[in-house]
Amino acid sequence: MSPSVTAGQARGQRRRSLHLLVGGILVGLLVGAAVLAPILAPVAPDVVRPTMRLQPPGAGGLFGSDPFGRDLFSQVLYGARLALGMSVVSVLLAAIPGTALGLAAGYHKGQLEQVMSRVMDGWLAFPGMLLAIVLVARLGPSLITVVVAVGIVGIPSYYRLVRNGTLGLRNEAYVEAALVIGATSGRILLRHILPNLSSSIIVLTTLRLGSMLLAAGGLSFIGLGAQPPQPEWGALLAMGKNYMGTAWWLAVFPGLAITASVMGFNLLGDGLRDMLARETAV
Amino acid sequence: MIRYLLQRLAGGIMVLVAISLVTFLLLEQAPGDAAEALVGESASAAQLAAARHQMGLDVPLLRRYADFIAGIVQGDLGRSLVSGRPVTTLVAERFGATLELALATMVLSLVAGSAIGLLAAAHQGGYLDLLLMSIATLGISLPTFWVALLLILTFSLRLGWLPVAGAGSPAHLVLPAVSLALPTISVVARLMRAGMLDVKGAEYVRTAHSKGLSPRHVWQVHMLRNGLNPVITMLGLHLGHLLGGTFIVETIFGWPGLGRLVVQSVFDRDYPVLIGAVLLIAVMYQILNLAVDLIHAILDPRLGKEAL
Amino acid sequence: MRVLRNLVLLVLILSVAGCGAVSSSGGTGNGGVVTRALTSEPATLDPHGAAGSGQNVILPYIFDTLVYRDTDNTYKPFLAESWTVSEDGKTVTFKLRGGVTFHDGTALDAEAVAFSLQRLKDAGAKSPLASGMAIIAGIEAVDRQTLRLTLTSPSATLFSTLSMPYAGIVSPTAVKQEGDSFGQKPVGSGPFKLHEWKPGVSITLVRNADYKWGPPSVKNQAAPHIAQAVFKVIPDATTQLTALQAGDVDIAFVNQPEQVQTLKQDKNIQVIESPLNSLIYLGFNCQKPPFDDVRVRQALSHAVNKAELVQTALGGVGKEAFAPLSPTLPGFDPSLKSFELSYDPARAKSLLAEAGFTQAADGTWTRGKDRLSGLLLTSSRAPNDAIATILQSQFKAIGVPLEIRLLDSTAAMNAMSKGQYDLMVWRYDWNDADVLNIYLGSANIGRTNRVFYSNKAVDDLLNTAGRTMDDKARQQMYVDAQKQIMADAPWQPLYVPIDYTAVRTRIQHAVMGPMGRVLLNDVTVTGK
Repeated sequence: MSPSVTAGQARGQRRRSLHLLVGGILVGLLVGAAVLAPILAPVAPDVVRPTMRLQPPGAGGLFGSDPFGRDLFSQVLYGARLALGMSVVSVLLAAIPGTALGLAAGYHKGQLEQVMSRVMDGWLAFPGMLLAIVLVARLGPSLITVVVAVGIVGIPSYYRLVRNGTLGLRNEAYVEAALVIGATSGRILLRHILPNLSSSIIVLTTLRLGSMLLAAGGLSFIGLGAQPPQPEWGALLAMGKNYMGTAWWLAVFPGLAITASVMGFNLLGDGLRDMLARETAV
Repeated sequence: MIRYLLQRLAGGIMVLVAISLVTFLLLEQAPGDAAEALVGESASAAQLAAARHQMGLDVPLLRRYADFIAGIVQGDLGRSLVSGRPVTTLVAERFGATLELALATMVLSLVAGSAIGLLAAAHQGGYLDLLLMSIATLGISLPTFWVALLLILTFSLRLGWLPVAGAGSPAHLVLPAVSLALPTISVVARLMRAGMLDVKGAEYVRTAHSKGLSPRHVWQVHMLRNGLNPVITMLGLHLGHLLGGTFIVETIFGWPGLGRLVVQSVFDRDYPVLIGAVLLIAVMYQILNLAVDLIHAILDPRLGKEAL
Repeated sequence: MRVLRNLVLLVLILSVAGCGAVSSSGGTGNGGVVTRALTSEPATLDPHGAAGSGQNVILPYIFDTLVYRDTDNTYKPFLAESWTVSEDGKTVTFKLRGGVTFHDGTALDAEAVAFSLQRLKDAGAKSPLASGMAIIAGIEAVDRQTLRLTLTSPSATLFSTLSMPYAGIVSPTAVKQEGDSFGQKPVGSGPFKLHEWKPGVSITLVRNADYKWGPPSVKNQAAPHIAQAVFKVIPDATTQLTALQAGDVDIAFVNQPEQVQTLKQDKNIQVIESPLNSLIYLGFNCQKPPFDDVRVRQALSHAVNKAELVQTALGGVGKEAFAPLSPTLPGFDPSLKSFELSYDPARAKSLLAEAGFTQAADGTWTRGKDRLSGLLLTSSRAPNDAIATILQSQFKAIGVPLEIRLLDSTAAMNAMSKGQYDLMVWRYDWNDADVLNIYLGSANIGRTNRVFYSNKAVDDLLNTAGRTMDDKARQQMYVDAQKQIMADAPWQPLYVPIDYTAVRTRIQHAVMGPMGRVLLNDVTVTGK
């Protein structure tokens, strides 16, 4: 009964592979940089060289040097480790509880859902920046604190997305059919509902991976995340901001690194989503 | 329906109470208090004690919280520990500016983002789709404050078209709104497109096709409605985020919004102002979420009361 | 689809074009408007209210003080024409200038001044001048032009206190009328009055046409030539710089040393040095082993290369310091240079060896089971993070690893008061040599003495000096105290900051006052 593959869909398949390819390359670069940093970096990232302050790219190294004479290329490479680690951990911290709770609430509804949703409303309203700042003030600044703060703050987004989606899908014909043949709710959730929500969840995840990097940068902006001399990209950008007129490379390369990584996550996500959509077509 | 709304109201109030308590306790946990932040580092122990007493900070924790809640119930959010001004005034001043920026951003994003997303979905697989989606992806990958600074450098310094910072005229609104809109446009575009495509191949669309309904009708009635589901949810989340105050953009542009107020009050350990601002944001979220849920119910009669 | 697309384009075009181009540079015609950037908005413009940096900038335009502190740290007549100090130093009598009025027309006589000073005293701990006002026992308006202050003990800091913006004289009529709102509607006697306050955005002052009693450092003793002074709230340092370059603001404090170079190259901008009485220092936690051992403190002091620090962390914008007192403060003596613990890694190592440490193969030092390392605490404000980074690198060079912790100012102060650190980098801004007592006097341990330093001989010297009115004797006492402090090394003074204010050249005849103040009384505005 399915219509023949149209020209548009053929183009679509090409495009999907392009997304996966480019996304894969970018993420691969990120992972590669993270893993191979000690080998690729010409100099340790925290070495202060007062005679090489603010050198432009070329004489001062591939990406130039910062106000302390530290090599920017080395900093960006080592920063990749931090970026990768922080994004993944914070997203897991948000996605796993959020999705689980969203599925449960959207499927079972009733009192549970009412309470959960109100709690999540409150959670969501809580300014993430506030939580991060107070956590940092209390526990001391560190990237771990930042990761936990941003991760926790991300839970309601997953919850609401999954809950709303589950509510919409629980009435679908195939769910009814599954109930008729005696499937348990767990099975239904995992085999029928979750896969159909996967597109939205993946989109959200790729967004969050990116927003995590940016959030960390925000906290470095007010000086509460990375501690010197950690070469976290956001901290590098915050420092570079002060030199935008005079030492453009300090703001450009870390910014490009962040942008490229986030784009990689997003493109990869797009490609994956398209692939999954094909496989679960009704 | 009425019963539902009342239930939401009751739940909402409980959440607000919980938020105020959590905020209060969290701030208490931070080292230093408002008196210390105020008198500065050159004040003697006696001065510090006197300041504490003046601010009422030497009263036990729970007593202070109870007094505060009692005040709120009567509509008095208390006074700033730093300036002595009523919290309601302070928060109201900032909220207007935040609302203005949030709405401008949303309008810009919705219009531009929907256009891009729909266009891309209609040309799925083509070069236009690829181009548009690449731009959209770029939009959410660029650090906002980086974009903001670049915009200022270009449009204010180099070209002199727009003011650098501040508020007060539509001209002041453009750069902050554009900075904030870029990632939002991308979010809207991508979700619109994703939502559209998710349902394109779905059962009821083919059913509609086979019933002989025109493609346009199929688009508008079925796909648009369902494609919008995740978009509306995400927009609700995003609007909430915008209302919560976007500290970085506000700082760079000198925009007098809630974000700066919240952060400043944390640094000052000024808990009445902090709680006042946070509660306002929480109320906004409650209203927004309720609106989103209602819209879902309206758009998709299948769900009807079920969505609620 | 086409409709939507066109709609989008239309919206974008309208939003940009509809706003119109904003004139970014230049004043608004004759009379002239001077605009200044503010990093933080004052919470209140009541001089007797809570203190803040934004307030510090604006208060001197609205309020006058009894005495004027000049840039050479001497006190000149202002609202008070002259004054006499009694033999025992406990009574000070001021003769007030005649013909002075507040913005609301009330006469500024001894009664008004007495009211104002009493109000300042009653503000208690809210005012940073609380300890300075505490020694005033009695305030009395003897007659319309004469004010008498009785003190509990002679004080060398009285005039310093009375010259601060927080001691500005307020209109009793306005205070009684506005009550709590006085801070939003301040009324003083200064060259400018408040015209409009847009919260979070800007504060606009207009000239006081009746002004006739300017301070001695300006030529124009009468009303200012310009029509308005506008203060725009721009929290971000980079944005301030851009606004200055674009001409959106005329005056801005230069927040980062790096900006100085850029600004000096701009033909439309003049960069003026502001004299300040400040010092940035490295402090040791004197009660925490092994930093309680003076040899360890001295050793680590010798590891600091100040030249490199100033060059690398500050881009050269700063003057290396050697004494605990800033060079512009009375009590400073250049001969103290010979007591400096200057950069000498070899000496550092031999001192550590003396203290019982041995250097391992990897360069680190151990004494018994303990390895020598430290937690360096400071606030996250620039350039503290840069200083910390350089120090970390310099200490690493002699084998002492440091962990850096940056906290917001309040949290940092709190942690320091509780002794939760090993080393710290901090700064003081004070107008008087008594600053040593505040930060190093043992009576203040756990509060303002955050290095937990205690030396009775030093305490005695400082306390006596605070009560001595004879300048020469004071000077000698402070020099002696400093010699002892430098030997005990609770601090390693790092540098004296050079603060700059940038002013666009269209602003002519701006006069630099004390503590970075910019006096606008003489200013005229030219063309662009």
